[in-house]
Order: sequence, then C-alpha cells, then structure tokens
Amino acid sequence: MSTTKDFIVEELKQKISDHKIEIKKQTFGKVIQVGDGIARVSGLSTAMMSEMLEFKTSKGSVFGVALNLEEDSVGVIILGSCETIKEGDEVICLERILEVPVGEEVVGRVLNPLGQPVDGKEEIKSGKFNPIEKIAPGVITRESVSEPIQTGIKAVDSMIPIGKGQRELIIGDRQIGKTALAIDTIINQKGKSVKCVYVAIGQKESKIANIVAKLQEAGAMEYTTIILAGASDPASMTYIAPYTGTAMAEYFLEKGEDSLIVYDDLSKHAVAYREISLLLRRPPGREAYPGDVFYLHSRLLERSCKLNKDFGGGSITALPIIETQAGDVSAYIPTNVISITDGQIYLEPDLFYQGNRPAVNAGLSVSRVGSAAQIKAMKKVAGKMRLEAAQYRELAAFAQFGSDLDKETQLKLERGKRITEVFKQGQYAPLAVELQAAIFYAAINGFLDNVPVEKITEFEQGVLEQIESRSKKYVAEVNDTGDFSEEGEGELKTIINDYKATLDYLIKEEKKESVSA
Amino acid sequence: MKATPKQYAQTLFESVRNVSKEEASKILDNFSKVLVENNQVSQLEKILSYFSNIWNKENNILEAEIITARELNADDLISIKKFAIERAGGKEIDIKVIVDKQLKGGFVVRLGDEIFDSSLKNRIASLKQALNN
Repeated sequence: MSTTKDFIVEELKQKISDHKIEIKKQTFGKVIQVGDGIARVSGLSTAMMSEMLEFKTSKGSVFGVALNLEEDSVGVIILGSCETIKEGDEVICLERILEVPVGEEVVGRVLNPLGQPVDGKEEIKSGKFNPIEKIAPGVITRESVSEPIQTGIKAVDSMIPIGKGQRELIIGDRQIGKTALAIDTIINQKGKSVKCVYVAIGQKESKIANIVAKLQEAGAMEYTTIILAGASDPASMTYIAPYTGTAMAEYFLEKGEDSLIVYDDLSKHAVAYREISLLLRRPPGREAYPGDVFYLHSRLLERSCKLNKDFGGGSITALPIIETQAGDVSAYIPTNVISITDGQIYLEPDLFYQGNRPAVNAGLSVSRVGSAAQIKAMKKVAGKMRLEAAQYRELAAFAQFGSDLDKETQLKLERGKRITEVFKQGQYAPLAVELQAAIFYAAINGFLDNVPVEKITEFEQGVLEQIESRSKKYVAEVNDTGDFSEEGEGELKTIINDYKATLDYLIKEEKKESVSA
Repeated sequence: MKATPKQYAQTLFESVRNVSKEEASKILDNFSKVLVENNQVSQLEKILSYFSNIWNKENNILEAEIITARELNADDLISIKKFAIERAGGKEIDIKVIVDKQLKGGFVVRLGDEIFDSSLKNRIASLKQALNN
C-alpha cells in the first residue's frame, strides 16, 4: 500500500521537476472583427496558410484556421462557437497545420470533423495524427484501377463496375436513393477487409442516427467511421469534414489496406465553402461560388487512388454524392465534379417513381474504368446484358407507337422487361457477386423468358436460394477464380431447370407458339 | 468616393514628414478641417492607429510592452529591456511598462507582434497541460 503511495508521490515529483519551461517566441495578433464564424485578426505577421490559431478568450481557448493572409490582417474561420470571442482578444499562432487523430481507434465511431467523439463514448487516444490537408500521391506511386469493389447492387456491378481506387460520383435529385446506394455499398463490404468512412456533410442528425442504427444492425459499424458535420454545425466544420474523412482513410491507405469513403454530399460542401468565401470577402464568380471551387473538390478527390505494390498497394475508393436541383446536371458544381470523377451513377426520378429502384439510368451512367473492374464471371454475362438492356430501352420508346411488331422485336421487348425487373433490388439487401452473375446468366440465356414479369422477383429469390444451398462447383469457382467453367455452367443450368420444374406459374402456351413458329 | 482611414493616415504621414513643428501644427489644422468637412471625425481613432503603424514602420521603430506582476526595481527592468533590444534586431524600440497582477509572477515581453511569455500564469498552465497528458 505504502509503496504505491510512495511511488505515486515520487513519480509526481519527478514529473514536476522534469517539466522544463522554455520561453517560446510566439506570434500574436488581436481580433479586429468577429461574426458569422469568421474573424479578422490584426498582426500575426508569421501566420501560414491554413495554420491553426488559438483565440484566448475569457472562457478558455477556441481554435481557428487562417484562410486569408492579407497585408495587415488575417481572415480566420472559427472551429467551434464564436460567441465567446470578443473584439480585442489575443490570438496566437500555433505553428502547426490542423490535424485529426487517426488509427484503428476511429473505426466504429461517430466523430465530428475535429476528430472529437459525438457518440458519447471516450476520446480517441490513438496518439497518431494526420494533417487534414495533404498533397495527393504522385504519379510514381500510383497504379491503374484493376480490382473490383463490389457494391452489391445488381444494376451497378453489372453495368457501371467500380474498381478499388476509383472515384465514382452518385448524382441525382433529392429523395431518390443516393444515400441508400452508398450505404448498401458500405454494408456489402462486410468481411471484405475494406475500411469505410462515411462523411455526412450538412445532413440532418436524425438521418445520421438512422444510418448508424442501420449500419449497426447490419454489422457494418465494425469497419466504418462516420464523420458528422450536422446541419446545425458552423460552415467551417462542414468545410473541413471531407478532408478529415480523407485523412482518416489515408491512414489505411498508408498501411496498404483498402478503404472506401462516401462524401454525402459535396453540393452542401460547396455551399458551405461559398458561405465562408463570401464572408471572407473573396470575389464571387458563377452562382456566387468563389473562383477556386473546382480546386476545392479536385484536391479532395485526387487523394483517392490505388497505390502500386512498391508503395503498399493500398487504395481509397471515393463515392462522392451530388444533389441536383430538378435534374439539372449542367449546373456549376455537378459539372465540376462530373469532370473530376472517373464516372457517375445517375439516378433518375422518373425511374424511381415507376418503381425501378435503385433508379439507375443506365444510359447516362458511366464508369470510365469499365470492365477492368469486373471479375471474369461478371464480364461474361454483363456485356450481353448491357446490350440487351440498351436495345430494350430504344425499342420500348419506339414500341409505344404501335402494337404490330414482329416476333423478334416482341421477344426482345419481353426479354428487356425481365431484365429491367431483375435490376430491381430492395434497400439494405446487397447481393453477392456470384449470385448476381447467376441471375444475369439466367436472364440472358432465356431462362426467364417463360417466367411472368410480375413473378420475376419471387423467382429470383427462389432460384438464388437454391443456388446458394445446392451449388458445389459454381459458387466455389467464382469465389476462388472469379470465373466459372463449363462444368460450373452446367451445374447452374441444372439447378435453374430443376427449380423451374417445381413451379406452377410459368407461361406455357406462349412457349408452344414460339416453338411452332 | 470616400477615402479610407488608411489613406488619410498615409496622407497625413507624408505631409508631416520632415517638417518643423510650426508647419506641422498648420498642417494638422488643415487636416482636421478636411476631416470635419468630409464628415470623417468618427474615423479619427482608426486613422490615428494606422498613422502610428505607418510612423513606426517608416522610422524603424518597434513598439514594445513589458508586462510584470509587480513594480520592478531598476536593475531588473534594465536587464529585461536589454533582452527586448537584443530581440528587436537593430530596430529602435519604444517601451511601455505595464503592471498586471493577473500574471502572478514573472514577466511578458511583447515586441511588435511577437510575444515572449515567461509569466507564472503561463508556466502553471503549461505544467497543468503536461500533467494532464
């Protein structure tokens, strides 16, 4: 007992005597003006761009970041509440760039853009910090995208494949499933050793509470970090949130691991930056955005990449989200981000209200990486299916004018209807890639042609259950090699035919007709 | 267009530079008339602060403040002043001595926009932080 007491006393004495105080030269300034989350500070002649500054207020310290360096004043964004800051308060340069804690400890947490917890759990004590702004990896360290990242969404994985290290924009109007697409992708990374970061920018906190609950339910919080800059947080927090998220993902990149980051959404980020810029009196440009709004997003998204083996082989895949106003993709921010990213998934309200969910518009959506980011099994089936789906869309528009169509066209229309039906998928229900390939295989090889359109969903569910439980060869093959052999194909055919034999709702007469014709 | 306080200060500085006291007082008379005519008397404080900045910059003067917890004896004050002059890098310094009981002990030297904090208050804060970590 006494030894521990002595130990503590000695330790404390030691610590106090070890503590050396040096007189440090610091640069100080005075607050000239404060308001709207922005302060103008005089002095600070040595302040650097985006350096941390400390406001010494009567009620403790508040931190800020220098954003405008002018002749005799500095424009500062205040990270936190600016109510306690008064005119004339002292401001000190901290001689470091804004950093956030990173490491394994942040996984499974909900944090604010400064890396402080907002989930009511303990502080992050990883001891490792990354600056929030960092220059993107250079050419020498990079590699082209070659490995797929599975979103678990049939329409995306087949037609708009996404690779590790790619930046794929999700764009569309409000309330048509942009976030749902991103959340499903996060859920589908379970067991694939991909760390996920979800950055909520200017979102309602109730929505985030829902998302956290859903991710927990799906067991996805084990590998996910959520950075939350809520709708009530100041614009400065919203502005730094995506950079914080990227800094945390970069920790895994440097370790050679794969990570996925979702920015939800960058249009609100641009709005927050516009607010800051206008308050700092930077000249407004198109749509009142400042001149460097392109650089704002390009420097952020450029940090997502795939590193080559010599540099650890890690990757950051980015899924930025942009909300359009009434489908206007030619507004300023959407066009900017479209041109930065390696493709976009365009979600369309019309499709959504027709019941095609996820409402992916296959015509306007592209992935510039293309089939390099697909496994062989998927390549085999997806190419043909993409073609048939495109033909169907063309014919469907045409077929509205008349009903007298030749057999071939009718067959294509029927096939197309079934493919569209196959693309429908529920929320929070991502599908494994081998099962996706199987149902596509069934669709393009005519196995679905005598299943009534309204029964497709039911059929799909049934047949996939059969494949999961009965298949020995096919599933193993796709999982091991990414491809299926003729044997695997044969097995798949047998399972599908066996299952169809048990059904009573198949269309029989039509089949006979087509045979006789 | 209205002239800014900075422009007033610059003009004032340039017109009173290298002039005798009598001339200067004449210039100041005129200057105050201009201010009244232009309805800018309310800006006087700002103009003066800019003026003092410009004056110091042009004449290579640094403003310095020595803040102590209690009145210092002459020897201590001289050694602190010496420290400030050393740090000023060849510039002349204009020293003000202030007593602030809140420092608890030690002293703080402010030189232009640099600050050397050797107060007891700062040391306690730094020790507190070191023990917390």
